[in-house]
Amino acid sequence: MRYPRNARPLAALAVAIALLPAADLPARFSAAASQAEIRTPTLERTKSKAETTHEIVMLLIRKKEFTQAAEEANKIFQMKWPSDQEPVLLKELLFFADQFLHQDQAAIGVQLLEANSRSFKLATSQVAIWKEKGYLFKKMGQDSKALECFREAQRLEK
Amino acid sequence: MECEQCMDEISAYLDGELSEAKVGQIRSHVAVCAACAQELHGLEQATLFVDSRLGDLEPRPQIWQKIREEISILPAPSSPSGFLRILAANRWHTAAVTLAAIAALGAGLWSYVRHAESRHALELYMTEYVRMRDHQEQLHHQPVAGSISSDADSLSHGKYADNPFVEVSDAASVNPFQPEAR
Repeated sequence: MRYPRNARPLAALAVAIALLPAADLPARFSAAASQAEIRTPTLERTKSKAETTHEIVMLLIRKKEFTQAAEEANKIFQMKWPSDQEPVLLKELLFFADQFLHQDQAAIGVQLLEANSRSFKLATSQVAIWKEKGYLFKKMGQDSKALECFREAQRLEK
Repeated sequence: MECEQCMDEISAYLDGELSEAKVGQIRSHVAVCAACAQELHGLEQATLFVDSRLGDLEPRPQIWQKIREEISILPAPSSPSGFLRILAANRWHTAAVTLAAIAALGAGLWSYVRHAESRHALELYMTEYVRMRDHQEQLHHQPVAGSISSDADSLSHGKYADNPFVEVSDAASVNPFQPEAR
């Protein structure tokens, strides 16, 4: 490409400006990579443990060993999870509560929700937990307690 | 006429309160019944005695005087005390108290209505969620055509399908956390 003689310095300056942000790119890339290396294996390990524990909980429920199942389930929520995993954990908590309900063990479901609700920081998670707790109370015929739970959910949702 | 009926109606007879027919019946009975005649006579005598003495039953002026004196000795009724005295003394106080009472009543009513509204909204909120969950439960318990239900089916829809730590990309049998497919 040919530039007019008086435009060459300008072109050189433009190229230099364009390349400037990429100057520290390798350094930045290596830092991000090392961070990902640290994070990913830890999360992978935690997920793997949780996956196994989940299956253990399901087996215990199948064997009607509900108290032990709840204890095992608690272990999942006591693991060190990054905050972005909260939706997955919420799904897990609500799933277990539902499983206990299917086995006519709604009271254990309520205990599970109560024991692990502190692990959840998002308001939407708290709302979902309060609602499910209210649903379980409703299924146990404890309407006033159910109403209290839904009141709390409604308050958090506002 | 029987004696018993006659005795019951003798007083009314003397007071002139009976019909002509009744008067006739009583007179006929008294004419033939000595006991009823005696009763009628006794009552007539008593009535005559009272009538003759009616003038003496007027209270004497001394008695009136005594009654007046005793009334003057009695303590006068006490004036309203405390809060009621304040109200009686100043009509503005009365008006203010009335307004305050109306305001308190209005606030109570408003609070009650608001409470009722919020409770209704809460019940709707609860019903909505319960209905949605009941629907989910119904779907969960519906048997799939051609499938044989078992305890295991009632717990989990399929292997790893309900395990949120397994990213299910292909039906319910793939665990992406394990590189080799299960």
